[in-house]
Amino acid sequence: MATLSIGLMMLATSHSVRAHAQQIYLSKTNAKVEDVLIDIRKQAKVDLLYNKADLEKVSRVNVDFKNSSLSEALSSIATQTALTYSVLNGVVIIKMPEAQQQHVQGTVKTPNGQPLPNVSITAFNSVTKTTTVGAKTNEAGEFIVLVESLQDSLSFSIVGFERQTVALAGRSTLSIVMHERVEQIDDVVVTGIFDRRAESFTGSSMTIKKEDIRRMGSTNVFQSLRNIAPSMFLDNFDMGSNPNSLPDLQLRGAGSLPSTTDMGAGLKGNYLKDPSQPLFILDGFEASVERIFDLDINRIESVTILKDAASKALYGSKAANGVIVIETTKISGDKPIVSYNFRLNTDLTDLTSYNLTNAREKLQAEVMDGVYNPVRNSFDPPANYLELQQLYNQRLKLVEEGLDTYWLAKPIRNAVGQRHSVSVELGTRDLRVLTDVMYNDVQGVMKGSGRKNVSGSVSASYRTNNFLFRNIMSYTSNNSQESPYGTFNEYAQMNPYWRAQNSDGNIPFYAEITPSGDRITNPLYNSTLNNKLEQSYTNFTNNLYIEWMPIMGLRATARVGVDNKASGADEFYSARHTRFDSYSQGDALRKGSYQVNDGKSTYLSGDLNVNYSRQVNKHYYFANIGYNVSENKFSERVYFAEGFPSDRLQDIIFARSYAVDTRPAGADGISRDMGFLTAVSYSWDNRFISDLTYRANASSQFGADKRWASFWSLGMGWNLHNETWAKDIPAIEQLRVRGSLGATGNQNFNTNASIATYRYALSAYYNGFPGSQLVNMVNPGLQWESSFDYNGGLDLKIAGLGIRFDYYERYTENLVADITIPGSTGFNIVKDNLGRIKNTGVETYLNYAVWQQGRNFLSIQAGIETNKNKIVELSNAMKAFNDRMDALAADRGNNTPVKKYQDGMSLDAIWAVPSLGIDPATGNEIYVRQDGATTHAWNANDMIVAGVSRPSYQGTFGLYGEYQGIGLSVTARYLGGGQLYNQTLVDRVENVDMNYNVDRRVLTGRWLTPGQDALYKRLGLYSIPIEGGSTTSAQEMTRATTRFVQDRKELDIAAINVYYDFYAHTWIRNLKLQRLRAAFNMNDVAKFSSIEIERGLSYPFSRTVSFSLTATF
Amino acid sequence: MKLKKKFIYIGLSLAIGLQSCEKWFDVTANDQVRAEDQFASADGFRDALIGVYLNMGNQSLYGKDMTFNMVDLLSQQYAALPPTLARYSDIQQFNYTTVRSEAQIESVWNQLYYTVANVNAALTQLENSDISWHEGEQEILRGELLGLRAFLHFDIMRLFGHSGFADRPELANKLAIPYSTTYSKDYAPQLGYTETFALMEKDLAEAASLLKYDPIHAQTSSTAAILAQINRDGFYDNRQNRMNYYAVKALQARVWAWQGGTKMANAAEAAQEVIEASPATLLGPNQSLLNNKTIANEHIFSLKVSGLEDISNPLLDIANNTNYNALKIANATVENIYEVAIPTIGQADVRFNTLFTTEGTSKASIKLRQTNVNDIDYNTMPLIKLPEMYYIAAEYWQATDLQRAISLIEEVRQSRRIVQPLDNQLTPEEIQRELLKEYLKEYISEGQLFFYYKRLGLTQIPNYSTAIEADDNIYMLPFPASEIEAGNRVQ
Repeated sequence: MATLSIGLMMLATSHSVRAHAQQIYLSKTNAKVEDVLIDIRKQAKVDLLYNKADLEKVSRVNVDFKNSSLSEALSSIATQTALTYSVLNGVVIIKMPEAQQQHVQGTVKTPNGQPLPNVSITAFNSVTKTTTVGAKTNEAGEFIVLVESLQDSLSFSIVGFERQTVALAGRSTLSIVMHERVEQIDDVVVTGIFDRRAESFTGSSMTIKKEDIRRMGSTNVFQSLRNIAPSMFLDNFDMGSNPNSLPDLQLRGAGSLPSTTDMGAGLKGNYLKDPSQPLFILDGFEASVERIFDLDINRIESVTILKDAASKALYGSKAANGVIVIETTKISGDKPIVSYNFRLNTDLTDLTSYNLTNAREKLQAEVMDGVYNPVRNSFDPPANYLELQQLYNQRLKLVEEGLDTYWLAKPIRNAVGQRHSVSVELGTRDLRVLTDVMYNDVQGVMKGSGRKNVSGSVSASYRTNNFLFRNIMSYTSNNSQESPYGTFNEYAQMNPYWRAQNSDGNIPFYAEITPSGDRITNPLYNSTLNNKLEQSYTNFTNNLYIEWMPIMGLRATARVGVDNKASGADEFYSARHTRFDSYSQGDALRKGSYQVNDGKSTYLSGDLNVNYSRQVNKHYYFANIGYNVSENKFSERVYFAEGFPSDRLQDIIFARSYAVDTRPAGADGISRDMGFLTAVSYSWDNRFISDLTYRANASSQFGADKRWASFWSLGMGWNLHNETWAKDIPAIEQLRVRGSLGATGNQNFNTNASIATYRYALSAYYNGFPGSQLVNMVNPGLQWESSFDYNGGLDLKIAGLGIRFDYYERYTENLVADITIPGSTGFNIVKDNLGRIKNTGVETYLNYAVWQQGRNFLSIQAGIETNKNKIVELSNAMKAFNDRMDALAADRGNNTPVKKYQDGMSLDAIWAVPSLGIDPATGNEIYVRQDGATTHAWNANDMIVAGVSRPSYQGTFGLYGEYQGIGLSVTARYLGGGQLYNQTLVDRVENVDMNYNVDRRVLTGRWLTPGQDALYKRLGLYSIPIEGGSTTSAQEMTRATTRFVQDRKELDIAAINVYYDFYAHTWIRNLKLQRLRAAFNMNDVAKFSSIEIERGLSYPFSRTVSFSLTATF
Repeated sequence: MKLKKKFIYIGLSLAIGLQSCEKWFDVTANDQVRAEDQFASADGFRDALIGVYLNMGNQSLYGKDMTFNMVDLLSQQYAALPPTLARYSDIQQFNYTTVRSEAQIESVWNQLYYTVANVNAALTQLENSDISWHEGEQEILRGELLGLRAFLHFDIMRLFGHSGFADRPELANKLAIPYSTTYSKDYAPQLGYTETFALMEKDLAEAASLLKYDPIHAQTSSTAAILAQINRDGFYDNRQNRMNYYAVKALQARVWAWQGGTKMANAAEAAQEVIEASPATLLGPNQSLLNNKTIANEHIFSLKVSGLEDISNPLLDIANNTNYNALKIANATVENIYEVAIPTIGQADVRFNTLFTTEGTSKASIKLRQTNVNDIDYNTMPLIKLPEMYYIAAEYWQATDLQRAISLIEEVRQSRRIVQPLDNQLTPEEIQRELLKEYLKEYISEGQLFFYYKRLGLTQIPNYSTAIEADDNIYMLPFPASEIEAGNRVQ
């Protein structure tokens, strides 16, 4: 196959005949002609045009030029080989004489008649499909190209324009008009505001194409992203694989303190943002995580993660946490296309992290624990003894009879969901329409839980003269159901000798009634009731884009977006639900509860950007100025009612009354933003590149004194691959070093934290007059939380190996935190800016094409992302918070480590008291005090940083390839360098509540007898004084100790994807199919972990197996 | 060329748009009102003022702690609470550093200053307000707010400041409590006592002059025409429940009396004005106390406390043995205070024979027990009462005009239906002793007794262990730790 020599096509730099005067010195024996020509080109500074394939056909040459002229040198080569040469327009053309090559001349222009330089031209033979030669147009848009015959075709391409193929049909001069096109991802970096030329971009961004997204996951885009950029996702051990739980994301580490403002209980509409959450941009407009979560994965064209200042500064005040830009599929051609995608998902529960006792073991554990020993100081010891023995015998009888309820299996299932999506593209060259419809039914592994989405979108584009109109309208309707079975932990805690179901299949209300009359309710009973736990929303968006290109290089874009969302949630528990079992007789009519949520949000935004780009000789200029304005408004209301006579009356209108001690609650928010943007790029000779961005932003969220803030970035880069020396190494495709720095802001905060606001006292009047009082301390100086980013990177593509390396340092400054102020101001806290947090890390991604032949290929990829997070200065102002945390940690009833913030430590530090283990003699834990002495007494002041819960490195590796239409990809995720506090050991082995099920390790690991070398201790009871002077006893808990801080290393086989593309079969064309592909996908296949801890507490994790079929007509 | 023009137009319209954008940013959520909106009309100022009174009724303030509970526990008028079982047992024993007491003291401090912040916010807005006011209204609102600022700071000082100020000249330059005049996170500096008193007196003088418009003022500047405009809805009725002109005068008397020395004359003068000119009158000879136990006609300044019933009744319920927080007074103590041994004094005293309930060996004051919605003083907490003015005046005159002093005390005694008159030949010391007796009798459950002891710097607190000498360790409640730490305060 003829490979094309690109390196020598330098027509853009036009040298005159004067070059011939240059003298050549060269001496080589048995040299390749091409090597000789390269040397001649360098010395003579002349452009040569030849076909590489021709040169390979001729014999090697011996040359010995001493002060020879160019023509002498060339004749010498011509005589030694069969080649001929000629000079045309100052370009030397070298060719095989017998090929009878011809040249074609012509010009390339834009629709406005402007000449278009740098257009790549390739000629190819339409019969043999062989590409022969190549060239580029010069400044004046002129070109000259060698062809084998005038029956060949020429193909013209340049960034920003549609590729055009023209059959020569005997013509030797051509006049070509190129049409602008929607940019392709390879050539540009999609920023969501305007596209930047990838060749001259200095920022650190990561673009993920649709193929990669589909290969890495099947449910939603986040599942895929997790397998590409894993460090972005935070663990959610609690919610597991709940199809309705949205992911927590943080790009390049935690930059903000966790939010301390609670906007009110019971809110469900997802209108509030997490302070650390990145900004999502969907087709140029801000979008919520939920919207991305529910987006049809087939509609996604690309995902671009903007990480460093140079790339994200365009978003100024919102960009500190990084920006994730998602583009949906754009209209591809002018032929009608219909695609259909079907996917069948099966979710299989993953319970491997649970290691609970069975019935017999549990009973044994209880005996060991002394559950059946009479209570000391009991009111009537003999009766007490009798009762306990009866209880033991009752249980033993059941166990002997073979009762061993596997509670974990009760609420779960293998869930089967399906998704259908159809897209239709129609229209003519000027007016085109793309319509998508999707139905997605995700079923969760907890019985009855699921998420259904129906969505549709219509994207239309119309082109006339200099204008391009584009409109995307989309509608999503969502309904999500929580399992009527309740939460998973209700089942995990049940004792295996308790009965879930009678032998006749009935489900009893009580799982056990003890001889003394204690009753344990059966959570499974709730599944028989008509509870209603659902949420729904409808989301309508309309985005309009108008592009105007009055002259070559100048483009003005105006965009207007509307996003409207209405959400609702119903939470109904039947009067017969076990949660009402404890209601007294007097409260019988209050049984049954209902919570209704009602929310809506509107987001309006508009922007106008004008950009201009121009190439003058070696200088490339680009400038953009922009203006944007937006308003975001939401409100949500919550109502509580109780007293439902029957669960067939599933509506709040059947309630007897509002719930006792409740009143309508809710949250509101409104924010308005405005901003100006200036972005400038300059590159010289495509070698030295630079980007400069400046943005001024104002928002209603910030104090009047700090309303406007400015953000900026500066990026520089050096395209080493465009250096002359690098051009001589054909293997180097890309070699770029780049660096950037800049400041961006974060505004994911409560909308009125800084403003003086009043709230009316609703319950009291003063002599009949209402009163209002201040809500918070005013702080007109409150400003944006800002992030200062430094980034250094390297992009390398060499002989099939691609490496992208980045090092970053990110400083979050002016953290918005609750600062302690003296009470004499009237308030104890004020939202203010303080402190610095530093995140550093390295990101490296490797890609290597091991083998490629036609469509068949095999590639491997690997990536590693590290992050280290440190509080640079903070703790003085957080002292009150830390003291409160110390007090909380010291509480004898507390069993989890607390969060503390101290200078020099990580935000994710695990604070615990150093432990030497369990004293074999007494069974007590031995702690190490700060002064090094050992003690049995736990003291909060002895707490040290025992670990960091965020893994210091995370990454992926895998391979993918295709052979004869069969494709395979395997991706694994790994992480390490972090620690976890093993809460399972604490809660289910050491601090066990023997009334409920426990971990198997209870049987073996706990200290029982003096002299025993045990890992876990047994804790006693302690008494808590309660109101009125009496006390109540409570189980003492293991407080934070290093004994339970364990290193965490994990390896996940995250995704396996196998597909077959039927392209090789002729029958698909008979069916008028353009493409048919069947795929098989598995997610979260296996997990290997260094730490045994229960995962999926409220909702279990699952493995996904799916099958999908894509057909394009 | 055409293109250039277009850009100029776009640029121009953007620039115009920007001019009006500052307003566009002023938005807030529905459930709250921005300060600018709150104070866009006179109604908003009224609501903010009422908000201050509502907050003063808070349990940490005059609804409970600053009156009949915490402050009166400090004055040792109640029997000792059972240790640990009762919530305020630590504070009662002057153990200010236990976890419980610290929280209780901090809450009082925070709430007092939170109320001050509300006052300051409204005052600042009032000074900068550009709405058109009816004559008199702005003055009354400002007068009330300034009076309240002084009132609150004076109580903070009485609680957290030094004792026996009048006789300790060395205190003048010691740092007092922070006197806050702005609503801002930049906290007020801690000034010396002299400067702090000056600020307080300045606020009071200004308040007194502004409250010339107060309808309660004997020579009010508010004509019927003015009142017709500003008091259509009765907002300026029930003046005794608000910081009125005479409350300001009475407060002046209190503040000057606290400083003592030459300021005593000013105190007496202010007290005299209240006695003579204010509509408040002492209990009449035939007046019933049954539906007016706090004697509302003696209130110069009293607070309506919403839900007082739920706060005071449980604490005054001594019938229940497990009510550890009950505010009992031993029978013997009561009989001792009211000189019951002398029937013409004790038995005759209406305060003794109608305002107590007995349960076994203990009594409880029923002054604040709320029984009937139709009571004249239902849900009313007296803050400044008329007898105190007589006492302050008497205290001044005992130095120069014994007879006048005696007759002032006598007037109160007679209104209390004590039959036996005071001896005409009392020495100044004996008058002081009689005054102390009167304070003890009059201020059961009203939160003034502790401050009286503290003002005098009594080294021996009546009805308390004689082994314990009262000094600043007892008289000064400690600043909350957070205040000292975050505000760098010295106490």
